[in-house]
Amino acid sequence: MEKGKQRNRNNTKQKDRKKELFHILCILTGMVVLIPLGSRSIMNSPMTAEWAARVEEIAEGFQRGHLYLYPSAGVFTMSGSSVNGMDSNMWLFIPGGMYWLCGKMGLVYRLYMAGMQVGTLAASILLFQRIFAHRSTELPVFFGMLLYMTCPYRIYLCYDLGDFSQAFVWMLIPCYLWALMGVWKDEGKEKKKAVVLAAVILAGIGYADVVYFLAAAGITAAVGGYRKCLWTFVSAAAGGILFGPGILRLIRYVFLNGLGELQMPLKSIMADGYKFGQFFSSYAFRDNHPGMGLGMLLCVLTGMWLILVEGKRASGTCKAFMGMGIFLSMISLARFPWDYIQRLGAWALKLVSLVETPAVFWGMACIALCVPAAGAIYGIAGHEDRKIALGVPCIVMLTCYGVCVYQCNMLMY
Amino acid sequence: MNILHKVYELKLWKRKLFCVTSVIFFIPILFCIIRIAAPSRVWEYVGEGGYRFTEADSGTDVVVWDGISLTPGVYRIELAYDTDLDAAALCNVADGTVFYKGLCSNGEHMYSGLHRTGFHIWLYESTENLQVVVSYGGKGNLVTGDLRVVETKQLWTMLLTIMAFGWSMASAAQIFLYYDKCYSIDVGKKQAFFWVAAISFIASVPYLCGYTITGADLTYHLQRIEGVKDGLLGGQFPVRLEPKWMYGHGYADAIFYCNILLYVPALLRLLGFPIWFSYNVYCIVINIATAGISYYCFGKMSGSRHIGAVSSALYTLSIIRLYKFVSATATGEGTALTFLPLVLYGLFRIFTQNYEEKEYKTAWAPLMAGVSGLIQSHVLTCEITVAVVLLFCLIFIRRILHPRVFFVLLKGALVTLGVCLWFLVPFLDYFLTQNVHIRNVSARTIQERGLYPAHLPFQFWRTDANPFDMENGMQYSNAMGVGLVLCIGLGIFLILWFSGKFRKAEGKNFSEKIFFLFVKTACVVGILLLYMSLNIFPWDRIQAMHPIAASLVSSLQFPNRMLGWGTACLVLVFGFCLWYFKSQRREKYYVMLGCVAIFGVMTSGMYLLDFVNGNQSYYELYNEESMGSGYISGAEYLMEGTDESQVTYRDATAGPGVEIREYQKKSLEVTLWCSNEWETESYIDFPILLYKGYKAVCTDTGEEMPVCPGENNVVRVLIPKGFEGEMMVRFVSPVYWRVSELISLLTMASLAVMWRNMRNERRKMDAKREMG
Repeated sequence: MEKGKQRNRNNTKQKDRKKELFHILCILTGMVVLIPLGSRSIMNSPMTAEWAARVEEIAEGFQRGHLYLYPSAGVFTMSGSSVNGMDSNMWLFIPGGMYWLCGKMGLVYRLYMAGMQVGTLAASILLFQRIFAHRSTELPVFFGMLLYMTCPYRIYLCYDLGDFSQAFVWMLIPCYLWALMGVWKDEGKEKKKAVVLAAVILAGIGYADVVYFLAAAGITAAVGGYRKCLWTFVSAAAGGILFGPGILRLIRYVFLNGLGELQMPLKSIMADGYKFGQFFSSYAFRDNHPGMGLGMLLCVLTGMWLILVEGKRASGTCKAFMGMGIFLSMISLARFPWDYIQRLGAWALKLVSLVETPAVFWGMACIALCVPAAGAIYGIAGHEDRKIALGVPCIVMLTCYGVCVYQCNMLMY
Repeated sequence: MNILHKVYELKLWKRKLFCVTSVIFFIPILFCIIRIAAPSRVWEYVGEGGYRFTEADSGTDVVVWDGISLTPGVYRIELAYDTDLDAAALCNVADGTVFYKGLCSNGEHMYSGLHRTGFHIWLYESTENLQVVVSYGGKGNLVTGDLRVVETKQLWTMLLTIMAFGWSMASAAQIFLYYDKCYSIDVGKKQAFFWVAAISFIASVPYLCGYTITGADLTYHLQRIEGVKDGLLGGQFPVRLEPKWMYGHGYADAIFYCNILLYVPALLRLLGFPIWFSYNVYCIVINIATAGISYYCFGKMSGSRHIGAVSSALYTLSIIRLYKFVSATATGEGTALTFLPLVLYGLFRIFTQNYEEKEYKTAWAPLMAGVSGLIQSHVLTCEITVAVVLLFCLIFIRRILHPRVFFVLLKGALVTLGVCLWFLVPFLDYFLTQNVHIRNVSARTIQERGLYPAHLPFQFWRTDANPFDMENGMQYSNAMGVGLVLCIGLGIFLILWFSGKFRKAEGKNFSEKIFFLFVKTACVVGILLLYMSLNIFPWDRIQAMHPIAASLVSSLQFPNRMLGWGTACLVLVFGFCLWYFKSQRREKYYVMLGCVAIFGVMTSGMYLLDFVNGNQSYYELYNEESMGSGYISGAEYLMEGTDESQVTYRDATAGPGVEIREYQKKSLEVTLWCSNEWETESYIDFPILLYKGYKAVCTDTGEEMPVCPGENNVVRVLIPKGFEGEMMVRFVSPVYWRVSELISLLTMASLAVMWRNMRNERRKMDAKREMG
């Protein structure tokens, strides 16, 4: 009896220690991705002028008692680009309000970006806890979160590109997936809650970035169809309704030749797509195409080792996310015939032009690939050889941190 | 039951998946075959007067023909033109209606000596409005004329190849899957496959980006590939003189720089693939070969698959290999590095294996394979290899004196000679009898190009195609290193050696002692090679000692070439350290050193690879004509005294009193009708650089006509007084070259038969053992 109690006590201690370590590593991850905010200056990125103009306009609006849900044409004239003319200001109300209150753009930038990073960290933990809920370990949750947070594409679009809309979407997507999984897995009241939540978050994604909204809604519908789950459609439809102003604006632009004053560019996007080899870069990249990073590459190799050499099988969820990741990577390639799609009509030309670059799909693919990658680390952590079981996750963790720190440093110097 | 029989037993044709994939691939294959069988079409566009460019027309993409309607295919664009300046204008095609990369071509420069373009375009989508455009700089006269568009079968041969490859890969994957289910493939084999695939994949990432990284030597090696292709099309086999090189004058590169491995990309070119694709495939194949060979060799030497994998990663992703192969695009030298582990393993077997064993009889095979590969890929690396092998032989001289060992070495040397004779005979023939430029290069000093000691252990290499470190004041140093990891391995080895740990581990067993001695020798040789790569090594003094030494040192060009062998030796030393810790049950050290290797590769080799791929400039080359054909690097294989700048496209030049008619030049073969009405003997100068082997024959009488060097060392045929008739000038390989080719062929055939017999014998033995 005494021995049993002792064992239980030891197990509890061990669990506590694991949790402690998990929390420490989460904080460490948060600190690593906040490195570029360590300076007092705003990073000069292609989209700095646009979001600064938007924030200023919102603050001005607050002063006058006017709410700009969508930026005026003047903002795009000031920033010199109207590529993101379909993206609303909804999530910029926060920095807009802050700027109205304090009047310091640098501070607003740092606080808002830091908030988004912390929010993304929390959201990714939430998502991976749900995905790996049946496994009594923090390991896959931590690695999922780590890969998500240190994803080179995410770091690139947050700091290098300075795209607030996409950065915000990267915070919302884990929440959306978390809610969607609730729609599929929960029952009763919880399910209904999940449906409402999924709809709200989907609309939130739409208000941040319309391309991500369309992709998320499309994938949701496809998965809902595959799973024959009516509630999935209900949540997507409700999300669409909540995103009503955005949808109407989109219809006006795409089908009714409206919004001509914004002069949004119409162009072929194929040339901006990824080349296959560019998926695998870590330290340096060209054409604004960051790769998957060393950590993810190691996870992919680990997964392949488990399947090919050890004969293990991936779980259904991992397979589904892997399939999604592969599909999204394929459509992000320069060889994917977007030009053909654009020839379907003026609406297709406008719609595809809105995407601006197929590289966004690589970002989405990275999100999807985080799940099988974390699954692979979970798999290798159970290896009978302790050296491998410990060594591989350690190496992946160190490379994730290392490459992320390197990428952040390269941005600053 | 052998593997083939087991695969047959899988009865793939009865499996649904196999049938479905086969149908998916065979329908397009059938379509391609039909298209290949269909006759080629030609479109003639005849205009009135052509387009005359004036200085006012200077600009890019001036449309000279438009509204051309074509279906997908690979076409040859033949635009007639006349110009009086070389390379002052570029002819290309344009089409704004096709999708991105739906029309691929780099065009062709226009030359005064050519009167028609002949470049290829790859069109992947039907078009109604293809335009032929000319970019004209505004200098010189240029008149364009009629246009001819010739359809080739290359799109369909290309698609056929892709489909056949796709089917083979799909089938291989299914065979792997079913075979594993039925017979359970050995885990070790799976691991080997995985490691080799993973390492070669990582090394090949820059070749999967749809472009080719440009290094200093890229165009030169692309010309070599084109040379093989053009030579084969011109009826040469093996290709000795690249016919289109030097503006169609033919260049003897293949005689001095063996091109046997370049037949792979050349074959792809013949099948219609663009240049960048063919070259990248070649590089991927070389990466796979390097990863595979190094895994096998280092794995065999250490007796451990894991150590083999770590060593393979350290070698394949080593700084010097990546720099040479990817960044500097020194394709020949990069290819040669593939074979160094084989030579090292060959020496290992000859010197450490027990000669009483039956397997010792084949100990010469890896050495033969390695040296043959080296000779046939990069002669300069052979120079260093000879020195390394001699050093090993010196250390193991007592063992060499044993008749069995000596016989095995001799056998290896003789078989190597037999395999390479087809290349060596023409090479030595030209080198000894022809006054080529390379024989006269001995004044170039190399010591100042050596490294600073600090370069050697440097970890984070970010070099580009030109590693001269001018910005840091080291403008002459061709900076390169072996990396921190290998230096750590070397340090650990030296500590273990000089602290006497090896003495305890060696024991009294002779085979173990000699194994340790071999690695110690590799360590010493490695250190010596590192020293030789530094700028403190007295290369200048050696050069001043003797003309032969001067020539050899000068031909080395860069002391950092020593790092190839240096890396191979240090990888062996590193692998040995791992082996030592493992065998001594020092698990902690073993794991730590393994981690050092992994981190080293990830932060050094992969870092350099990423940097090169992300920052170095690149080409997207489709057709050979866009490269031009005049670049010959250091002009090493031109006859001494030839003025390279005077060589350009032109027709035959007749001497006084000589009339030429019906002049036709195909590849390096010229036929014409001529007459000499001069009072004495006259001549015709052909636009072909003179090398030994050119013959001129009067086709009417079969009489051979004298050939001698003409102006700027071109082929000059002396025309006797009163001669009138048809004549043919062409390159004919001497008989002894042909004999050497035959000997090589027979040697390789015998090797194949021997290998097969041995394999059968081994199988029988295994079967007996199993029965027993």
